[in-house]
Amino acid sequence: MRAEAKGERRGRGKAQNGREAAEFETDDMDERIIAALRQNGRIANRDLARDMGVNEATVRTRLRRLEEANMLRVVAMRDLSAMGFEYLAPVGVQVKGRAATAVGEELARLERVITVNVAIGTHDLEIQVVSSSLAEMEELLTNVIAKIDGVERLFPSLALKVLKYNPEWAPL
Amino acid sequence: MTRIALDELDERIIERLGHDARVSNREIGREFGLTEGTIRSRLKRLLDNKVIRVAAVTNANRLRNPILAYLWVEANSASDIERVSRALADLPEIGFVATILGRADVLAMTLVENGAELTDYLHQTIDKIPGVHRIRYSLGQNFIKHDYRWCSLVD
Repeated sequence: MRAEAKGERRGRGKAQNGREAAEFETDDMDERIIAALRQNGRIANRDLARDMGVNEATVRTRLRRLEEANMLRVVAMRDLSAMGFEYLAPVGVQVKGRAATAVGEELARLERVITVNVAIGTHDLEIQVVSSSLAEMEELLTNVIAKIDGVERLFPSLALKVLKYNPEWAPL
Repeated sequence: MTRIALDELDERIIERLGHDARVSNREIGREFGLTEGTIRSRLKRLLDNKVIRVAAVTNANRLRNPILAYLWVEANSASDIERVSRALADLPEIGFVATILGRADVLAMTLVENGAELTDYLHQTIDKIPGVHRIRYSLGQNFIKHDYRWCSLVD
């Protein structure tokens, strides 16, 4: 989620988990393409090229290279509330008798659990749960998540108002 | 915000763009057996009504060692919560801000590469926001799931 402001980050990350995504060092032009597509993912290559003062083939080639290296993806993101998910709960999970990662992987399989992170701090996992009603949230927390093997205690909170939620990165 | 009703075609378009949103309207039209114009007008409606947003997502592993910092912020007083949450949302480094019930007054999230970077950011930026009383944080080190198909489109 860290934005461009901090963003003198060239593509120096390594492919993790032995995945051979052929990463490469991005240059200024790659970064400008990424920045433009963060603003508007549907901009035509032609318009993007014109804005950047280069030809369309250059933009197309650069973009394909970024996508093939698994460094960037342009996707449609759905607005939670427009899709009917009015409730968002950031929940801390305390795990006992089982590896936090194993519990996290089981939680990740639930469609209503949109993020799962193994955390350092008070709780072993931090997750975000969405629901269309308070009753559904209660059901998820009490009868689904709480019953997963290894889940010891839940520390839920509930979003009153989401002021900002712009995923800019993800494990791809 | 007024909610628009979505039909099956809308859902299919959203699903199609969820994997790769650089596909042209003509290509989607061909796949669905519909005209380019139909796809274009449907998509415009989805975007205009803030049902979806189409944007680039970069791979988190572009960062050397990405740590997601959950900042649990308490305000000086209840009347400061709104101002604090707005100030946090204005920071470009912060990707998520919500006022919450329960664990704190406000939850904000940012991505950092190490503890020193987080400490600097807390001291030099967050602590200076008027109305911030105290910040606790937890650090997410291993992204098991981060479903980028969701966002919030706020006016």
